[in-house]
Amino acid sequence: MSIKILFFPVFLSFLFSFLNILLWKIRRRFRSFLSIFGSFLVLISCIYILFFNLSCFTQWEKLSQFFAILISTISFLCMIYSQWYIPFVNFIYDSLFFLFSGAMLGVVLSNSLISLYIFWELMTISSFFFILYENTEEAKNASIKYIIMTGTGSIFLLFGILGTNFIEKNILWKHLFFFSIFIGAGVKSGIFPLYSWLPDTYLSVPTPISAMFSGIMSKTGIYAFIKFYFTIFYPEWSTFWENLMIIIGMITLLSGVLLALIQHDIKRLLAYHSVSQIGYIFLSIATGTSIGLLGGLYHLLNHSIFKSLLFLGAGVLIKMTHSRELEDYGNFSSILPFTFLTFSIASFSISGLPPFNGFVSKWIICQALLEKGTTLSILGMIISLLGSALTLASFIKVINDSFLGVGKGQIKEKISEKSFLIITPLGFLALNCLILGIFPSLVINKIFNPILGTISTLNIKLINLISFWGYLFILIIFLIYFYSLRLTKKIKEKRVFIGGEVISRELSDFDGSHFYKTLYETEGIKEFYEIEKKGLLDSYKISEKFFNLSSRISNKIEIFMRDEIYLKGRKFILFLTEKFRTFQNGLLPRYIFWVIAGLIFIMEILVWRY
Amino acid sequence: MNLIISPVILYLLSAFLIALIWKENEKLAGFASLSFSILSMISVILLGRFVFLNERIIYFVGGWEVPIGITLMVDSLSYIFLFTLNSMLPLICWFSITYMKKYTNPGLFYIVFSLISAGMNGILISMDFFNIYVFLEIASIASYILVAFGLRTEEIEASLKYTILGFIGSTLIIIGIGLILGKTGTLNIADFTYIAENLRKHQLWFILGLFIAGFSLKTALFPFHFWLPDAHSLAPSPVSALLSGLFIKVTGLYPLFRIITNIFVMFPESKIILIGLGLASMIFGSFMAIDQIDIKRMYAYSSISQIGYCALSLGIGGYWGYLGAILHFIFHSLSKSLLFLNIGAIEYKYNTTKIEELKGLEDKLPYVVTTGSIGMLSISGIPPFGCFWSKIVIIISAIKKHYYGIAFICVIISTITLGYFLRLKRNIFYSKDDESKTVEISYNLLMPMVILSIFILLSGLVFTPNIKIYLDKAVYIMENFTYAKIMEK
Repeated sequence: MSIKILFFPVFLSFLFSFLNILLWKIRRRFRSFLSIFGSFLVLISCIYILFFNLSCFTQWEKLSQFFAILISTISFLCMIYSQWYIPFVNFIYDSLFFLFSGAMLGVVLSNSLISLYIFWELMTISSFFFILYENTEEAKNASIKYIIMTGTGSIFLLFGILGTNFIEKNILWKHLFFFSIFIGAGVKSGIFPLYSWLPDTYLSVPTPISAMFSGIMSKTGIYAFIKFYFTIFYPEWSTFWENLMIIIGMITLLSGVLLALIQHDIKRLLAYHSVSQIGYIFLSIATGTSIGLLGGLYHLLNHSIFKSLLFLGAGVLIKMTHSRELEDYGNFSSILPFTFLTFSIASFSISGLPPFNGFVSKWIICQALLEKGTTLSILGMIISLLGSALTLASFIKVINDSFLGVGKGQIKEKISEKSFLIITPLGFLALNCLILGIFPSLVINKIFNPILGTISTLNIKLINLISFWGYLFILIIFLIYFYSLRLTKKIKEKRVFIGGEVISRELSDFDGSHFYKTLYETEGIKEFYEIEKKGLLDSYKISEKFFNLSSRISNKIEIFMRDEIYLKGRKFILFLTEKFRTFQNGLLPRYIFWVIAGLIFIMEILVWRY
Repeated sequence: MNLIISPVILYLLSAFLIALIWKENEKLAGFASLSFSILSMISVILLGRFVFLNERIIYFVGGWEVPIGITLMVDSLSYIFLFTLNSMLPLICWFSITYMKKYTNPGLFYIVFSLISAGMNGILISMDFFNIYVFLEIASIASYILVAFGLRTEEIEASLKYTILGFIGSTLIIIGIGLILGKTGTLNIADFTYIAENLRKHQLWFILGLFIAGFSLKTALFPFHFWLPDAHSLAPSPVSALLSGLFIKVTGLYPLFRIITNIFVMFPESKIILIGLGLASMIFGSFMAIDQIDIKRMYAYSSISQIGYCALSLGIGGYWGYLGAILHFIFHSLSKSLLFLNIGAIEYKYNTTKIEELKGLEDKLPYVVTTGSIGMLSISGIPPFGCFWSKIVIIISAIKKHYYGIAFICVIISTITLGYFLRLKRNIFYSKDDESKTVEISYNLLMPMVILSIFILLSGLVFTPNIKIYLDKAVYIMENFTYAKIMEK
């Protein structure tokens, strides 16, 4: 397949980015239309590849196509949503949006490592401008953190890419380059010690962009890792790295979900959940088996769907109340029934309840870890189950605080859910949560088997069985939904007595985030939060101490360079210039002398050999 | 194929016609010259199809066979020179329509301009030593006249020095040609190469030495360059653009390309000479350019330095070396012509080319400053612009042949180039001046610069990949072709 057709989506994205700049004067409505049309065209051009004869693609090209379709779909939906979310936005937003999605498509579609790196950098830079978009103090700090951490990651990635030629020479080299690629891909996807940029960044960008960051940008890191690990290094080349990766996956998973539990800022909470879900994907891929890769990819697909859905749903709340605090929400289910439905579907998916898609992928991940059979992987399986339970606990808090409960949310801006701009993205994503959960065998056969080859050890019957019983569960969900519609309209209130005294409503009420604060005092987890508070888990904060030292050193180097090298070099060059000037003294006989000297020199060299 | 000879005929015709009308109507003279140069550009573009279809086109003037008659030939290598030359001549002519109003007799200028163009075109199409000499003399004598066009004392002195040194070079070449006629009895290049295959080396080295010295003098490589700074800095600016951007390359570099790679192929020593001369010119030119007080003189020294790159790359040889030489020829022609036109526009407004007397041009002449910056950045080898790609190819060629020291010197000289151009930019473009009104500038002065700078801007990213197939053909000719093959057929 010619590279030009494969690269067409990237080209198209950049074209629309440029078009938005050219047409900066047109009215907002037309630009909305232009941008939605543009991202739809990009999506079509990605899907268009599927109509070719797929057998001429290699396995890895199919993986790229899978990622490209995922990226273009999510960007299309986020583009629709952002027309609703930020209606007064200027052309820079749209232009950057296309640049960003085009760069991500470039990362997954590029067929050489250097072009992958170039698009990677482009992605970093264009996403950097989104962080500065809202121009608050918080955003400025986040952007500095982001550019330093991901920039360092890019340098590591470049080092790894350049080193791929030398990995056969020496086992030490191989370890070194694997390490640098691991860091490079890990910073972007947000694995354990390197995720400190992630929560700050996700909450500073506009919400549709948070959905893109969490839904697809972190996946490009996974893509790069899969590509390097499975094509250049091959799984099982070193048990040390395999074990280390499983351990890092476990820590990422657990620390992400534990930190998410105590958050009261909805975007920060979702960001920490993002870390934890990346931990799942990583844990699964780290097993190195094909079933592990299947679990990882399936969970990646699911995660990008439900996490973007969660962010988009949270965006509705944020737009309505102008606040990210869970305390400011409450009893929105009657005002926002559709958001409530889709948000709860996403919450159940991320917590891994059957028959939603999160369940299927987590099941496959557990199966992969069990099949691996080492002590570490069994431990990983247990931790993943634990993480799943904690995720559910966390999302019960979110749903309780925001949609259910006693109404105390203040509505700052009246919004309507009936717009096509919001029903399409939320509805489509929620529908996909269900489809991917109910028909796992179909999804595995149609999407993942072409990429990975048939996986014989996968017990798909059991998943089908559970999914089947899950239909019933959906029915129950819908019943709850319609019931809650009626229920929330008239809240039953009962008086509370303590010792015969009626206590006021403010005292008797509690919200979920206060309740979850008791976690700080719980034995066992308490130490973890203490360590986190000291900033020992934050690699950025730790490295900040070294920045001071390095700046002092570089200052000294600069002074040395100026005094010793620049000034002395300048003196030397001017000295040479003075010497050379004696040649050009304006005397014609001298010039003729030099011409003859040159002629003799040429003749001398020509007869040198004889 | 009559199209081969059409540029020469057109320019000679133009010189003749303008000589008839220039006294009556000076304006018409300029437009006649411009239209003839555009016509010749069109004829060269039409010629391109035939050249790349047939590999080379040979034309026997008057139907006389080799070795009696005059033979003309265009192949991919000479076509690239021909195309660059003829596409830039209209721009320079367009620029001079307004610029030459400064001088008393602008009509005369177009006659000499047409003659120099005819001479340069003639060198590129001849396959005959004596023909090359004749056209070289036409072009050279026209250039002596053009340098002295202002008739001030310094200009006449510069022209005198240039004339004397130029005649020494021409004499060296004509002695070489005479020796060839004496040794082999033929002046046709193909015929000579065919015969020379059977001659022994010691019969030919003296001729080769004379040729290299003679053409190096025309190219202005290090010990032969002394005429160039005076001549190029004192000539009218469009003439400087023509001389520095095209003349030294077409009259000097192109014959060197041919002599080293196609005619005297049995002398590998000649490549060592070219590397030595190239390195010396690079170093000398860039060091001399550092603290010049006159901008045009600085550009002239920069030309010496950059032409050294071409010679060096030619001397290194191999695919990358030859490719680098051709690319650097094209991009340096574009950039240096742009810079001289640029300083010409400034000179037209302010009547000075001294660094001290020009200040704060950023506010006064914004378009001139933009185009000038593009030219300067290009010559210094800053990435998206033209000369970066050619310089990197030259450095690659040096590294491929394991000449690491040479690659290092190339980088250092490039840095020094950037250094003196930055000094220039800081002093004349971005310094503060009390007056900062935008000055009107003529459309005729501006448009050639804008076109050239667009070409430089797009060159590396857009053109180079697209014209690579033609460049490869030219490089193939330099690597494999000898004229003797024509005679064997």
